[in-house]
Amino acid sequence: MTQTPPTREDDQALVDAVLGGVAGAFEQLVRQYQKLCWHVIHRMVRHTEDTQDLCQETFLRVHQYLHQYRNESALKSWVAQVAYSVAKRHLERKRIPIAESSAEGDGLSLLDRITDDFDIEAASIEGQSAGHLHEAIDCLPPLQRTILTLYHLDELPIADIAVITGLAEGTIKSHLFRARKQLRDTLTESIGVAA
Amino acid sequence: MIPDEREWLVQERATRVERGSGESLDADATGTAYLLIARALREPIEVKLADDFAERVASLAASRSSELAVDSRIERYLLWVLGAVFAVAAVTVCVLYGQTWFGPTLDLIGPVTKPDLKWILALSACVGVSWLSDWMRNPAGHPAQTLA
Repeated sequence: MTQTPPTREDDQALVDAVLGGVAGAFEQLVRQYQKLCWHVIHRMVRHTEDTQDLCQETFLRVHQYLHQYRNESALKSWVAQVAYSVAKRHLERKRIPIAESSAEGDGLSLLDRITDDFDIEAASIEGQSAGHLHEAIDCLPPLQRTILTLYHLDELPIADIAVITGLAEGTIKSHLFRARKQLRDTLTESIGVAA
Repeated sequence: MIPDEREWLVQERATRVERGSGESLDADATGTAYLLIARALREPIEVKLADDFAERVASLAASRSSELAVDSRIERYLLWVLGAVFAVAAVTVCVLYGQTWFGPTLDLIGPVTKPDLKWILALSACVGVSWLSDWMRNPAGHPAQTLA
């Protein structure tokens, strides 16, 4: 987070180096974006082994199609876009809906879906909140989880998230608002932070 | 689009506060809740990739890339051979049987002009050779590939 983000010129130089077959250039690209790739895919699929395989698939695709990168968006967004499409296709193959809230589908609220084995007494108030929140985040639909992570953890602007997911900026804002409101409702219900 | 603009602004302010913008946030329950949420969402996610992941993927990509190049060369060579065989077969058929169908066909079309069969065959051969040499000079006629 504290590192200066690469400029478009840096991106193009790296892409040119990879396409020109410079030794170690692609390895550098992978190192630079493997964390972001993990964030996108793991938030979507929530399965460690699948995420590892899909990260590898993502970078192989990036290598195969890098000649199509036109520097119209940051390389970071382009790589995240490939990761998102790989994860989305994986979920589609498994017939897991990415946007529809499973909580809505089965009539359960996020709080109902959180497991009962959370030891409330053993945790501090802050710890309680964090524990419940992380479980509640896990219960959100894959698309909302991913958008929240890209926005809050990776600090990507809404415009970039729109490019990555192929959705309109208004839709991204709407997902952000509803997901955070749902988390707030869960927090309020679970540990009694009065609204 | 956003049903509650005021709440959206509180969410966004909490996000900026958590990012260390130095802004202040109302110490009410809503602000506090969104601050906790922004904090939880910024907690690092453990990346469970092997230390040599980048190195391994890079070497896998390089080997796949050279495999694809070999496949592409073989494919081009086979296509060239197929094209040549087809051209030779077409010329042979024309030479052997052309006289039997070309004349009657021209008769059917009408006696406007009746060019010499040898010249027609020579012209066809020229066009064929020219097309083949063009195709060999520009073999990279790959269809556009898409990302997804």
